[in-house]
Amino acid sequence: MFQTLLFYVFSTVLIAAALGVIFSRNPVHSVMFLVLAFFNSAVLWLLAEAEFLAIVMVLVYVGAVMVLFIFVVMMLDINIEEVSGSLTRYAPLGLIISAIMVFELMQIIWLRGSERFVLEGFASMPEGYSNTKALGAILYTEHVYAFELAAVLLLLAIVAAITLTMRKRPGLKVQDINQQVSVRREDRVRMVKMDAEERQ
Amino acid sequence: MNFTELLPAAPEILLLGLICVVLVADLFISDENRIITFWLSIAALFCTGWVTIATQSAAPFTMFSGSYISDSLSHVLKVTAIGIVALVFMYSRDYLRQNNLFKGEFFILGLFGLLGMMVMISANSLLTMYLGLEILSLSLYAMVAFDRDSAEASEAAMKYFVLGAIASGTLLYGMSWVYGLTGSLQFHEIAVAINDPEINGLPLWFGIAFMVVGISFKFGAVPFHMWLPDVYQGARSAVTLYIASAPKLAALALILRILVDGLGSLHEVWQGMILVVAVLSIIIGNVVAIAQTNIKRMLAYSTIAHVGFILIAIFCGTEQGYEAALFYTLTYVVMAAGTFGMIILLSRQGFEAENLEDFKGLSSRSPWFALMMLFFMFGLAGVPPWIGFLAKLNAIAAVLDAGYQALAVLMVLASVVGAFYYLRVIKFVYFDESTDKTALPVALDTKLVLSLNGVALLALGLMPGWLLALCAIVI
Amino acid sequence: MRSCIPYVRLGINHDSIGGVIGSHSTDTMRRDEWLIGSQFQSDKNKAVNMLQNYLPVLIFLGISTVIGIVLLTLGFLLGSGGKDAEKLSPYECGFEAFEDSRGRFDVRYYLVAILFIIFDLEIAFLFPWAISLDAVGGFGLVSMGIFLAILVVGFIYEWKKGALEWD
Repeated sequence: MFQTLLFYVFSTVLIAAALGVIFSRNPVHSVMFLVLAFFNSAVLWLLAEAEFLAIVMVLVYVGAVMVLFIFVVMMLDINIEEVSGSLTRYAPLGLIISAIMVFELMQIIWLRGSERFVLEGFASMPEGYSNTKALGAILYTEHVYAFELAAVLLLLAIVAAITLTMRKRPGLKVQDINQQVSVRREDRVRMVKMDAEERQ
Repeated sequence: MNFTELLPAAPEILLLGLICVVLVADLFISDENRIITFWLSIAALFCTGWVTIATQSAAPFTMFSGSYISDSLSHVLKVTAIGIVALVFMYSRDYLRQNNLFKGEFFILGLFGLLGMMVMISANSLLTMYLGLEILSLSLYAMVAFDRDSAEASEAAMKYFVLGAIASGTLLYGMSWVYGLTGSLQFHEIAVAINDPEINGLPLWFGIAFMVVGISFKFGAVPFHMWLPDVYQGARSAVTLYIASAPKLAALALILRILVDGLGSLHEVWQGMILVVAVLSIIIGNVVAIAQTNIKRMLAYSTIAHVGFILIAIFCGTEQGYEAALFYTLTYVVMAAGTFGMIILLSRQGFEAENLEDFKGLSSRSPWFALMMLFFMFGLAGVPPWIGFLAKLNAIAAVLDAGYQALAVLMVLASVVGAFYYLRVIKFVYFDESTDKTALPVALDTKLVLSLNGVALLALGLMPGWLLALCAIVI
Repeated sequence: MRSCIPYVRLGINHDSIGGVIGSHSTDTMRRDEWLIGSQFQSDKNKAVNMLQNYLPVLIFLGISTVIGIVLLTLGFLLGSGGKDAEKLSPYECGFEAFEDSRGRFDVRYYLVAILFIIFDLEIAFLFPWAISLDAVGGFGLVSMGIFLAILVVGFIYEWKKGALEWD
């Protein structure tokens, strides 16, 4: 009962935040609403007892992806008026896509209603069950191939990101620690012998 | 665990190790010695190819809890993919040097792409297939945008990336439906699960429809082809060469593993979707290609038409059809590699030979390479005795045997229309005056490999027996 | 077609893995119950829900929301109002602001952010591994070793390329 109440509270906030993403005039506000939406969906994962997904949602999406979003938004010189104008232009397309998605999701509800794949709410796990642990138990053994491929994908992402975005600029002022440490007295101090000058 | 158990996956493991070696070695190579990276990459391809041949076994073998499969199909496709990537690197070398693009990352991304293709070819589960596809796609996006100073390349990369990401998402969405309903990621388990009449229903068909859309996009079939001409035209010729050749092998593996191995018994469900896509592809591909003046764009539409032929062969749903599709793909990638190799051959510093006019009077500039261009065009057009003819013939025969006469007539008509724009290139090469008298500035070994590539089309066409037998064994 | 395929699994003992799932130590549970209070302890028949571990977070969330709203409301109600141009201008240590506060970021931040995401994802893979290390055993240790080794190659690459340098 209490959980159901929580579900509705967080779902409401989630939907409100999602609407905020779309209707904010300022793109930075949109990103902030998206953060809120991600947080709420993390809570929904938690209510479904998918602890790991909830943690990853916060860690990766809120912690990293949204930071990237904010950087991109701040890098672009977005004209706020222009952005709000495009909303109505693309609205019909968006509505068609949402209609299709609603239809599909109805299919799932229909499936559950037809008593073939009936689940009674979220399955409540036995005491001490840890979603993260269950995931870990198969991720590194049964799915080891996919796991290593994920590492390859990340390595490739590093290579691709650096290839595409890094530009060597001349005149970088970089510390050369080796040079700093191996500096000798002679390099820094010069003894100058000069005759004494007359007092002025 | 015993490390000899990993032997069937040795090609992928070795290639990954060698990529890491090349990646780190490239960091310590100065720009003047960049050619070392090139030869290291070629050596990596050679080693991987050798190991792939050495570790093949007659019986299919699965590993990693059934997510990896090593069978004769995977061997044939992998060896071909490795060979084609080696060809691509050979052809690209001088072009990249002349255009100030000779960087280690081109070869490293190319090797990563090959790894992605090999993973897809050997995938036995939806998860592995998707990861392989992502590795391949990410490499391709980065390669298209490789020339950062070219506005066209950046635009092409952007289009490719956005549409490709949507297609990947579509494919993944379909996969999640199939996984959710069948409860398994592995193709052989899915094949068993879908026999249950309770599962075989509208929701599963939804999932299949989404997967077919994703697959069609990756193949570049109409109506999901809009990225293909822009990317072919916008990317630098060396990258176009890469995209146009080897990934088609991986796309074939994608469709054979998912639709045939996994969902083979639901053949009636996906057949209709494939038919629409395939027929549209051969019609639109061939008709629109006629109107092009840019040869890269023309070849892009010709690719769409060829993809249509491959898909029609798969549409038949018979063993003969799958054999024809495999044969078609294997021969097509060889022809595509050579054709784009010719474009690269004619390009030089600050000049892209990408308009049809640039091929005018090639016969007076270099009679031998004019002949090679003739070989490639005849191959693509399907003129006997070049191998392209046999590939088309096989596909049409498979369609006829499956009982679709009207479709066979359409394929013949499309081939005739297609022959027009290929022969137009020949006309430019032989019967038009050249405005450009420059000699072809390419190294001897590249010319040699390209000549071999061209002669191979004729040789294969004259002696196709072993390749046909191979395709029959594999399927 | 390729129908009769002998499927061989890689040498992993599934029973040993399966047995470990669900043997989460109950000590931490009791401590949480103590934290949560007697409300849930009384209901012994009901299986202890994983979510109860997160009740303190929920309470914290509730309290912080209330404090946030109350403070804002108090400020709104009790503040003397009076907005003028000086008051609404951005405060910059007593002198006029140099430039618009919505200035554009340097594109170099983007590369840093991308590299951060990649290693953040790597960390996400480490969490379940750390928890289930006893279940996955030596095999899991080796597979994580390879995973990290592949990413170390990426780290060497970005370091040597100078992607981590900032002038």
